[in-house]
Amino acid sequence: MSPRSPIHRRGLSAVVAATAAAVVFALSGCAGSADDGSTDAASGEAIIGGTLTIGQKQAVSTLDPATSAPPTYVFPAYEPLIYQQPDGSLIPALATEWGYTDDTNTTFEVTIREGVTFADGGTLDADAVKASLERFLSLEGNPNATYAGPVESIEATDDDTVVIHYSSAFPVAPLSLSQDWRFGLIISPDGLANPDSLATETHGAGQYVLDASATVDGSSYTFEKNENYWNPDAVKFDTIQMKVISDTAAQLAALESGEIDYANNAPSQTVTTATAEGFQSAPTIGVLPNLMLVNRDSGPLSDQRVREAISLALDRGSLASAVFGEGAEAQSTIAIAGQLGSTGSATIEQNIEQAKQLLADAGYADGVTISLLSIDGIDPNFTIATAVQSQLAEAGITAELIQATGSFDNFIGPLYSGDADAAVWQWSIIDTYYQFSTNLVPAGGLGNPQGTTDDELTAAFDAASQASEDDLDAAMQAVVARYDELNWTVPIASVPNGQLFAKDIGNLPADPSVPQSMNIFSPDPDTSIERVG
Amino acid sequence: MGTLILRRLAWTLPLLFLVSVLTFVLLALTPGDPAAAILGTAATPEKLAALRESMGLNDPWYVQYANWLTAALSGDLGTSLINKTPVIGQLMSRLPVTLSLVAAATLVSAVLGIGFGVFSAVRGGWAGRLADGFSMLGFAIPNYWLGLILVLIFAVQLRWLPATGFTPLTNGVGAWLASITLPVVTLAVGGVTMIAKNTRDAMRDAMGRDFIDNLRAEGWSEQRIVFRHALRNASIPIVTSIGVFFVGVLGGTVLVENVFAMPGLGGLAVSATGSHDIPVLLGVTLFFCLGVVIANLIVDVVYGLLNPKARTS
Repeated sequence: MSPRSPIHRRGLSAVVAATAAAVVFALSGCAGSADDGSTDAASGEAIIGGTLTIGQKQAVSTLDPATSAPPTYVFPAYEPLIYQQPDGSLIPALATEWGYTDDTNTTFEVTIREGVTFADGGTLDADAVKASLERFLSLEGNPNATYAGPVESIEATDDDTVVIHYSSAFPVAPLSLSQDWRFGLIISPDGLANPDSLATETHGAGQYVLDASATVDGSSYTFEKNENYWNPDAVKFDTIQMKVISDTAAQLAALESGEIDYANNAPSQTVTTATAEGFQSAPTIGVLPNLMLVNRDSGPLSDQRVREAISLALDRGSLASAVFGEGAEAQSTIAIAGQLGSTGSATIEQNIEQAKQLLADAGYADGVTISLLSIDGIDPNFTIATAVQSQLAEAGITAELIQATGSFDNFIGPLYSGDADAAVWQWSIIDTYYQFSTNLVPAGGLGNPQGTTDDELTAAFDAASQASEDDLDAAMQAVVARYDELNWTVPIASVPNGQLFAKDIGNLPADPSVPQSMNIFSPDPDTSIERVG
Repeated sequence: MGTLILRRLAWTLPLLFLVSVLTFVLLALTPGDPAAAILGTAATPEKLAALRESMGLNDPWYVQYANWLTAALSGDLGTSLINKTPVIGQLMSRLPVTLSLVAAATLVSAVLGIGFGVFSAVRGGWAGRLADGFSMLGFAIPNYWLGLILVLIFAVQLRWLPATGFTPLTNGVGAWLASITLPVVTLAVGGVTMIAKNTRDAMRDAMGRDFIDNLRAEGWSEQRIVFRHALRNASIPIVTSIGVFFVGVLGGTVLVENVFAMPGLGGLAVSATGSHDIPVLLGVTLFFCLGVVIANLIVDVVYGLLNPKARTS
């Protein structure tokens, strides 16, 4: 090798300097996008066709629509009987008409759309619908079976009519047959005949069908347009691709680099960053963090004044912003705005003095001690429990934390045994009536583990169960009002589910009140998202 | 050489058995509940108990392990507790992704590391100091951070490479290379610096030996002396460091596959851990363990080729 020369040294120095300059130049581009950060809604003429790519935060467990978690992966391929729009209204999908045939909300009739063919060539008729519904109910270990309500039997009374008989009043049958409740996602006869195939194939009558050859399980799911779909005008894209991007930073990078058009379940920090860069945000309702005051039959929480004091001790506004991030709002009623039974009541403001007075009236002038259960799977790092603990202390309420980790048994055990007076929990906001009928009112439900009863609440709930569709909202308001008064659950905040969209996606829902709908697969082309230009 | 290989292989089965037992016990002691992962907010004590019974989770851990082992000995690694698909199928479908990353990262690290190491050993002075400096930097930089920075620059700003995803080789060499470039660079940085440092040290040692002076005196070219004689003598520690890097990068795929949303074994391990899917976790662990065994075997074989004395030791 020749000895080093001055010329060689100068040349090498130039290379190093040039490399450093290139890095600085490239990094200077990282200072921020040239976008002014405005998030005006995209507008323009709809561009039909092409591919919509969705970044999913969570991988799917199975493509079986009865048990899929999350269900968003099956929405492209499985059309429900009734479709719930982003504003909460219900429109015909695979069913054209529906209604109760009695005054007790126990017999529900559905008219099936004629001339519909499944993607696999099967025919949609009453027998096919009946078989699909019955399979949902009989599927062993189906965690979503309760969404169907108290179904007693199902009949196919003719080629196009299905009648569902309930063992007790069930006023939300139409909702139970919409997409988010799974029950109404209809599987073809071929799919039912080969149940093992449902985990990895799709057998629906939806707008798209899974392209297994272009799908990598656990990573990327590709759906092609279903040529048999009954309403082709409603199909906005040729291809839907769902990519699993569980890392938060990777999801944002994918949106910024144009690899995805839609980031589903984006955390609040990602939403903040992305909207500052000009991406569009259209959150859906997500979860309701709360305190379940469960030991109501004995001890301090048996006194309604103590429970009300706990509610008054909380500064929900600061909890919402500090603990749950951007978009979270203080919430003091079990039914959020826009939900069935929402009372529109004002948020309860923190009032330490009033809380102390209530405690004194209840005989706890020197303070009271309760045990507060929390599990890390619901309350990471016990942030909620710790924040609540410090706020309760201001009112003289000492919350002794029971910090459960790992197995859900460590939460369920103390909750049902009475070892925990209260528990931190987060309800997924799906529907108020469902919540009351499954979790909050029945003895043994997660929100009523000790089986506490209240005559007024029971009467209001029974009346709501019997209410007609037109009267249901008012009837549920009475249920919600009584429940809020009882303070069996102390809501803290409503936390939205972040949804981010590329700058050229239009027709975004303005004020969604449905939990998980992706607003892509509506049979009504005027309300589903589209690419604009 | 054949005896060496057979002896190494004879240890493989007991090793896999030991690893599977340890893994199973650790998982049994680790918090997590697949039944709760499936039921979510629909969980009540009765539903949890019923689901666990149906999944066989109420049996003692040694009964569960015995059932798994019996099936595994016939090649059946069971089915996922969460999605009911065969574990072996999931592993085989994801293996090409992880293999692509690991093989490419090892190759890049070896080639560049040896190159830089030889260069700095021969040039000495500032080149050697630069190699030491970069080695420290390479060890210090976290993979996760580096991956994010590379994505920010090359995917988001420059749009030269994709931020996420994996394109199979069957879809085109160019697209495949583009999809693995950033993840491979992320994995390889630490390896390049480590191998370069070890190569430099080994080469300096070899170049300082008397036989090098003899070769120079005999008139051989410096290039031949470096690459045919010194490098061969320095190769044992270099091969060792490559083997160590290969084992390390297997673990590194867990993080990198998540950052780049790649459907490999590392990503599978993360998702299975979250849902406490024990059969899948056991399968991934066994695959990784097998990878380590094969890597060590290859290193031993290469040792034997480079140093005949090692074949009989």
